Amino acid sequence: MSPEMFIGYGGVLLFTVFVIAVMSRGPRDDRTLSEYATGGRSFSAWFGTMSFLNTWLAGSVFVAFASFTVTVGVAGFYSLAYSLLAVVLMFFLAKPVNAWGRSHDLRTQADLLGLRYGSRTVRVIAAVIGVIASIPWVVLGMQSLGVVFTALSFGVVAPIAATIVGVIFIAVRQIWTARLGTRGLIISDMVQGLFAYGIGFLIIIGLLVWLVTNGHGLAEVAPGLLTLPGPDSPLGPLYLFALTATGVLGAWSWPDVFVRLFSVRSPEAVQKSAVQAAPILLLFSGSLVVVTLLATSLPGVPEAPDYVWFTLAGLGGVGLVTAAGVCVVAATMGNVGANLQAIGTQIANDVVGGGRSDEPGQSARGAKIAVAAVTIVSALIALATANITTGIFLLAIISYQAICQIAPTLLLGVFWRRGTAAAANSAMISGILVAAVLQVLYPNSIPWLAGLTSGVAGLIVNTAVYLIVSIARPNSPEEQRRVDALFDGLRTPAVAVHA
Amino acid sequence: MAYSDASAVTRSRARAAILVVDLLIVLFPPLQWAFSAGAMSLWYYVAVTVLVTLSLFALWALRDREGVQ
Repeated sequence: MSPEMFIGYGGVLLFTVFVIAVMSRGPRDDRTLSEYATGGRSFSAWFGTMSFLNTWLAGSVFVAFASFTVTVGVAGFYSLAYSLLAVVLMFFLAKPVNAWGRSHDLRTQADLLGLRYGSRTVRVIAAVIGVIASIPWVVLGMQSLGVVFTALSFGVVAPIAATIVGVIFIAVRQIWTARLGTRGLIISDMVQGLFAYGIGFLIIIGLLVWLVTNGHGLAEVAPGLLTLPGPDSPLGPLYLFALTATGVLGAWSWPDVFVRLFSVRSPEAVQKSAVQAAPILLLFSGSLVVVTLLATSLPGVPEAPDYVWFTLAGLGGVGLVTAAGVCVVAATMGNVGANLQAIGTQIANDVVGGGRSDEPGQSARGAKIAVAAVTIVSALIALATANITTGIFLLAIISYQAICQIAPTLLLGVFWRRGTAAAANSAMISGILVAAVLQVLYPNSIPWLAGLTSGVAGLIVNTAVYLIVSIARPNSPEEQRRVDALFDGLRTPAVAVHA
Repeated sequence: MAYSDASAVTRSRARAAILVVDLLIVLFPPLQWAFSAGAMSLWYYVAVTVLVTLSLFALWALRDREGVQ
């Protein structure tokens, strides 16, 4: 082990020990599944903000998304654009989701859908889609640490061996995720988020100043990278629209992101979290895209786009590379932990036995076992596929087309009273089938749909089926009264708490 | 704090209008095509993302406050 590698790996280890110490010191009451899954619905707006950001902005923003910007240029901004629209949706979802969560002791996204549609089938279908679509992202998250441990070894550890180190590291870290549940996750999100996006932002600003003052300004960026796909784009005129729309609609379909709406203490606190998250996202992600764009004129960056973050940090020496690596690790720990916790809870709460027990005191033991099991399975898949990451990445992209098929059932269900369980079931299934078939036939974009992706094509069919079935076969009067009462309950004065 | 129904409806409509504008400026393809070439493409995204961020503050100002002490 070289001295540089000792500093790099040591930095990650020190930070991880610090995070575990902080999350283990917090109050702990994980006896019930409700407490385990929601952290007691007790967190303030700032914890809600950081917990959303640490779940949403995975370590891949420094690696895969930065690499995307190096390859396509300014279009890399699309992820910030859809992220901000997701935050706008968060503001609108706050009241119904948080209020129903508290009054009906909801613990997962599938739980909420089961309540809204009065259907165990809707709950199980949504839960199964959520679990199946999320696992490839957990595997990718684990594998993405390979880039970090390769860079921090300063040439000593080969990429495949570094990926194995990364998978074992993040799998061991999940012992505390499984033990401490959402309460531990949200506390660790605050520490990890402050480092990843706070220190990360300071590093980005320093690098931006260096680039601009050393002849790597906007004028040096290749003209082809300062172009958005237009009407004549080879992928189709609507390709960029399709990517952005999938991102927006898929955002709240992810179980790990959605469950954050339950953990904050009131609807107004969730709305405040959204208002606080937006400028942080704008400053952090916007500056990351710009610094990556300017870095394209640096030697070596176009040849190794995945390593652009570390190539830039290398300008500052070993210390800066270590800090940059810890930023990626901090962001990855938040995302992988949230994903595993949400998947485990959804398996225990909504899938096993075909639906959860409605006992308020239901034990968290099943969820802990499920989180541990999913961690082990994901780690094994990640290790088995350590040298074929392209296939997993493809699976992850496909899973995004699948997860966004929950969006019409979720969003129309929350904002429209007339949607029915039959509509939700047929919409989700038809959307996934259409998206799957088109994904196989057209992996990138569909030429005869002006460049729309399989996910958006599925969403069009999905939404049409939902509306047609809801209108053609409306709820029974009794069911409609139940749904109306659910919505009318939102108009009563909210719980008297501070945001 | 109690608000009149009329005021609540007005604020609700204003929030819906903000949502529609946000969706349009980010997702409307002809707008992206109009700024697709050169440094304008960068400034398009800068302007759009700043506007959406500011819209969150407008939504916050227009929120329903009843029942929260």
